[in-house]
Amino acid sequence: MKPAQRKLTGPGLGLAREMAERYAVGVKRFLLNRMKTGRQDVDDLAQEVHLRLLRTPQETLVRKPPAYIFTVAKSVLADFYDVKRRNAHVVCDSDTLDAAFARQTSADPAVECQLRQELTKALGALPPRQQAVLLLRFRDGLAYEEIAGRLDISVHGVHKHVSDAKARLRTLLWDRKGERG
Amino acid sequence: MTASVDNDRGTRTLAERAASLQLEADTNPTDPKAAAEYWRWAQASPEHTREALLTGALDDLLAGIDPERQIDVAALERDGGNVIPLPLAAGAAPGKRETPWPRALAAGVVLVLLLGSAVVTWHLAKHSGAPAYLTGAGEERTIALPDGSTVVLDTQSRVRVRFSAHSRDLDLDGQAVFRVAHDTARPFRVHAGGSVIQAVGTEFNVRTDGGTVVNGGTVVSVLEGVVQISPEGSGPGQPVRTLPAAPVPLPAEQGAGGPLDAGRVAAGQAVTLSTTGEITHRALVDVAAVTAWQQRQLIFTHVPLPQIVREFNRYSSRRTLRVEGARAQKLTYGGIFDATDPSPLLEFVAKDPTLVLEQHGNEIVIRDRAGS
Repeated sequence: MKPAQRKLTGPGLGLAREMAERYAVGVKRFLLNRMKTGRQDVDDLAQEVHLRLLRTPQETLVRKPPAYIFTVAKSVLADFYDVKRRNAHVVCDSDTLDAAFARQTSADPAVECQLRQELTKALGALPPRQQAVLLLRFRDGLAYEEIAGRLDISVHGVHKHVSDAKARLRTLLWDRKGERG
Repeated sequence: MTASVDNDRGTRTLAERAASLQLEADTNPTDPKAAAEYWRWAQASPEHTREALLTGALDDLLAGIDPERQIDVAALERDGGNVIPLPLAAGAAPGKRETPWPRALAAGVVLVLLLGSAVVTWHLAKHSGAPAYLTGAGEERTIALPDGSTVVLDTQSRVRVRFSAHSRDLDLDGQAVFRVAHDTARPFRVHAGGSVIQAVGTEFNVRTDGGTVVNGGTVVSVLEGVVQISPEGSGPGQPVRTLPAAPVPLPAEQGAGGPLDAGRVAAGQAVTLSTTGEITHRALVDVAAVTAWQQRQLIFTHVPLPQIVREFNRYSSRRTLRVEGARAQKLTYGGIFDATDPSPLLEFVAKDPTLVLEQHGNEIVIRDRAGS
């Protein structure tokens, strides 16, 4: 029984939604928290999520696969804490589990500060147009069409800038060489 | 550009794909094609899944970008046509080597990044000033060439660089990824295993093993652009002969086949070359597998055990593996391994009741169990 599911059957839909959101955000925080030092954790999580994706029947119609993958990831993480709890031979309620889970999946102020600094620096390493596209999209919340109009480029061009910029940020921030060396 | 960023080229290719597929799926939520494409890609391998997760996590981080709104987008837009990135602030990313020069200047500097202490560089008397670079077992290095091109040299490989005013020639033994700076006046040619691979402003991976690779000969995988392949010693423009065997049909738009295109290999394609420079096999490039060695990963899909063992041995001089016995020779395995650590493979092999592991000094022998 997954703790997330157990919680969901209890206090009603409002909390269910809140938990779902918290856990999806949790997965992202989990990954971000491990950006520099937890490469193995990230690889392990990806490996397990990959196996579960393979077990998903091919005929399953996944409407929003990006969201679905995070749903799978959060159940992997929840299972991990469930196994840990059972192996601990200590009876603890789901609040304790949630507390442990929360520590792993919420923003750590020190990591948060480092992340923000590194993002600012990595952003500065991008070409100006890529910086502009990311800021207009993620800071100012503009639609891709609006960004295209403002910068006088095609929507496809905006998409390309976003993908290229994210890929560059990904290698700058999760630098695998840096970890090894 | 820092060498470590070049080394991450393979990862970046995956990250770009993940970001682009996620964006398409998110912006076209009613398009089943976009969803299916993302889904297929993300479940293709653990690496793809990881990149799918990381690109999603990156969105979360980007949501908090520049909270004090200190960056002026209008100012960036004025610089929009200028593709030179802003220099990284000092100490930007821990562990990353900074290039203190602007990019334009960096192209004129030879940057030799040593990733291992036992790396030896020697200068050939034959070509005064023509350097050659060598990597030992488990070592890998990035070499920035004077023309702005870079070479990432895999373990137990060597490359000799012979640049002149009219040409850029390199001799390769082993494996390397070449990222070629554009210079129409000086063709960039890699000589490997009896073939000449000429770049047309491109990035490609060459692997030669003196014919010991199971596929035989030299393997050229083109990641970007187009290369022209010809047999060693043939004049420029003389096309390569293609043997009849071409088992993998390639998409028509990639321009494979046809007598005029015989030696042309475009991005996304990989060819195997015989020692006489003939193309014996064409296939689509598995970008993740081809560039995995840059992350010290070995990716196998149904690969015979002896070949897997040979790959691991390329990375380690401390402990070598050997396969003996008719049955063991024929076994095939798949998986993603850390190139420097064969223990997961050995653990897996040890579980096979028909095989036995023996340690003789620094050598581990995998052999058929007697009577099985």
